[in-house]
Amino acid sequence: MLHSGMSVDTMIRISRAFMGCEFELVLTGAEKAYLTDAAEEAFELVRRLEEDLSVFIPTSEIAEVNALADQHPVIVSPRVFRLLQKAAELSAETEGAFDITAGALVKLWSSAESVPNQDALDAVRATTGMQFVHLNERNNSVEFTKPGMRIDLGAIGKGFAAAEVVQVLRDARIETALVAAGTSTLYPLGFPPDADAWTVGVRNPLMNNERLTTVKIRDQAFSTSGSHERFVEIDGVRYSHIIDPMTGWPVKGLLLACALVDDPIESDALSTAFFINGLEWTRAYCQARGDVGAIIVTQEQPGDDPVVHRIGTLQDIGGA
Amino acid sequence: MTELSRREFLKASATTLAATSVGLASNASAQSGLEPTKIGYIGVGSEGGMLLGKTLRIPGVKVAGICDIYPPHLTKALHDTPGARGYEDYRGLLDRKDIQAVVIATPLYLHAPMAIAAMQAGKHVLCEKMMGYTIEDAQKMARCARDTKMLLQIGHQRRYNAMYNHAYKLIQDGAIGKITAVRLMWNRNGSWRRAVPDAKYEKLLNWRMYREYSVGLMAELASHLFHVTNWYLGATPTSVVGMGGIDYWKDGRSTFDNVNVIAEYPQGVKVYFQSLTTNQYDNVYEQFMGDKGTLIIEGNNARIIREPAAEELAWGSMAHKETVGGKQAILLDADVTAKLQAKAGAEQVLKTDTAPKDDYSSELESFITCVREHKPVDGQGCGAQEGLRAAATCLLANQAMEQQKKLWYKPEMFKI
Repeated sequence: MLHSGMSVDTMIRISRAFMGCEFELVLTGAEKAYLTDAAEEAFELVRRLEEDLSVFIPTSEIAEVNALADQHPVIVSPRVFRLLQKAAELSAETEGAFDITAGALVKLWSSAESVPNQDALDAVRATTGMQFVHLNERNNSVEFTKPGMRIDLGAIGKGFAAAEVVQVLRDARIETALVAAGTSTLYPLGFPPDADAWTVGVRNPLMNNERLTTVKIRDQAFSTSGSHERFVEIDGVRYSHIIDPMTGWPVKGLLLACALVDDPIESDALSTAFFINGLEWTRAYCQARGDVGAIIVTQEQPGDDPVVHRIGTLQDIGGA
Repeated sequence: MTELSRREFLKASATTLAATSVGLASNASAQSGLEPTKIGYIGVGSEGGMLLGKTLRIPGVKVAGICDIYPPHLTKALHDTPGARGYEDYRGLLDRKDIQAVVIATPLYLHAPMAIAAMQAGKHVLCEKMMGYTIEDAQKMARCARDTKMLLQIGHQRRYNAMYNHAYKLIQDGAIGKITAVRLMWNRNGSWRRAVPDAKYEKLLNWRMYREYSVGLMAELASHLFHVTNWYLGATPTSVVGMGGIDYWKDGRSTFDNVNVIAEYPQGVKVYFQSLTTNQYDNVYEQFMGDKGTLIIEGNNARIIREPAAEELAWGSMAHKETVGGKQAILLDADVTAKLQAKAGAEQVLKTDTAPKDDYSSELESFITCVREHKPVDGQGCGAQEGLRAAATCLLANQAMEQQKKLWYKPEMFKI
């Protein structure tokens, strides 16, 4: 199964900081120099993607959309337009839980020194929702129908980058690789040298160094969303960095949500949606789809042990 | 208090060349009633593919034809460009009467034959840097543009960057005094090589590694920085020495993997350039050193460090400062410091009414504007003359390293 029939005798592990996280590649093949060149090419692609997608880079396409799309339609590149279309589909499919227009809410909470009052939240919520984003396929343009809107691809960009990286590796005919976009999305290519699937550990969100469960992955992307690593603390209270677009408040309830599905863009978005929509919604969704697996980690009471719920395609397989 | 919009400010500034294109890109309703400007692409690899994505964002532009001889690149580009026709032979694309202009992003040795054929076919040309494989190539391109009266723009995109234009203006205004030396750096740690799975495509995709197709680091990296140097100094070099080598990457390449150049400019100004592929500590910057201060540009960040004995700039006390390496630096901002510098007061307030653009988009927009409005590129951006100066500077420097001796520039090398 490995590179052009050559024996596999080299594995490299290489990482770079992009999109606010460490992108790590584990590549296997015959020659270290070849693998390193492929990795550098993949990183260059992620760097350019970040230049297009980041809300923190003033010249990015998304920054331009945020600055001007409430004044006139803004044309974006075909790649970014396709990603926005995918985001709109996923928003509809998750009943608004995954929502790239929640950027203003996220910004409000992340910069808050005290808990925002409800009027302020309601004002921002009034400009939140994909129904206010008009995507015109005829000229790849984006227009906001509410002033002051912002989009943020933070919950989907890493999955998109992982998909693009794997394509670069496929083009280089690398057949065994693992792409980790920070701690949120894993996307393997092929099989590890000595097994028929990749075994991935899910960390206990309450005890960082402890493995809570494992998942076996083959040709699918695995994403996690949780609040244990990223949060804001206001008046001594920790609030999740994930905001429920429907309420405007940081999500409470679950400890962790994971999604396993073919497309890393979907897994990235769905783990967020599962975290927001909760256990029962996730069960119903996975049952309806049939091709999605989920892990939801809950805690009954503070101090209790976390409870792992395996759902959908992860219900019966791949655990430990 | 007068409110001066960014657009008006840029238009009013003789030094800000991006002015003509500000507000052009991405406003989907702006050009809706106009006949589209039809563009062709020759070469859609990593650089051409990136430029294509940005071109497709410009309203009123239709990419009507795309040429590439590497099938995966052509397939991907056509997928992104509905309605465009694909070509394996660029001459087929040039036969298209409806295409007004072409973007050429091919290996260096092909720039001259392709650009000349395009201009002779009545197409305006935006050709990626460096302009030509030889000085003669670059001169032929420039002369062809002159004779055919077609536009020829060379892809030195810093020319369209607001910060570079701002820094240029500050230097002209004496912010660092008389420049006596310049340090140019472009360092990386990596092979600079693509992973090519099929040996038959090795030279096609890794053409930068092979001397028969490329001039390596001097063409691909140094030409940008020497373009800025020639622009800022308003001069071209008189002589050059250098040492280069293939000393680390013993992988069959025939272009240098490290280059170290000193070029002398009029009045004894020395310009040092270094490019390594084994250490990225110094990364990329241009450092202009004058008798009153030092101006350093690193991408979109720039700063001035005044010499201890130099008096403070009139607007210096109001500027944002930070301490870098124990020295106090004035941080430049193409909007804010321009305002401070303009009045040393606050009579004008710059209001940003458009989003800032990346250099490539600004470069493309400027080219499209020149095509639409039949404006010459020289004076708007990097035209044939500036492109030739940068190319001749770098080509003789590369020869100096290859021949291991000091070489003197002749004035006619820089002439069209």
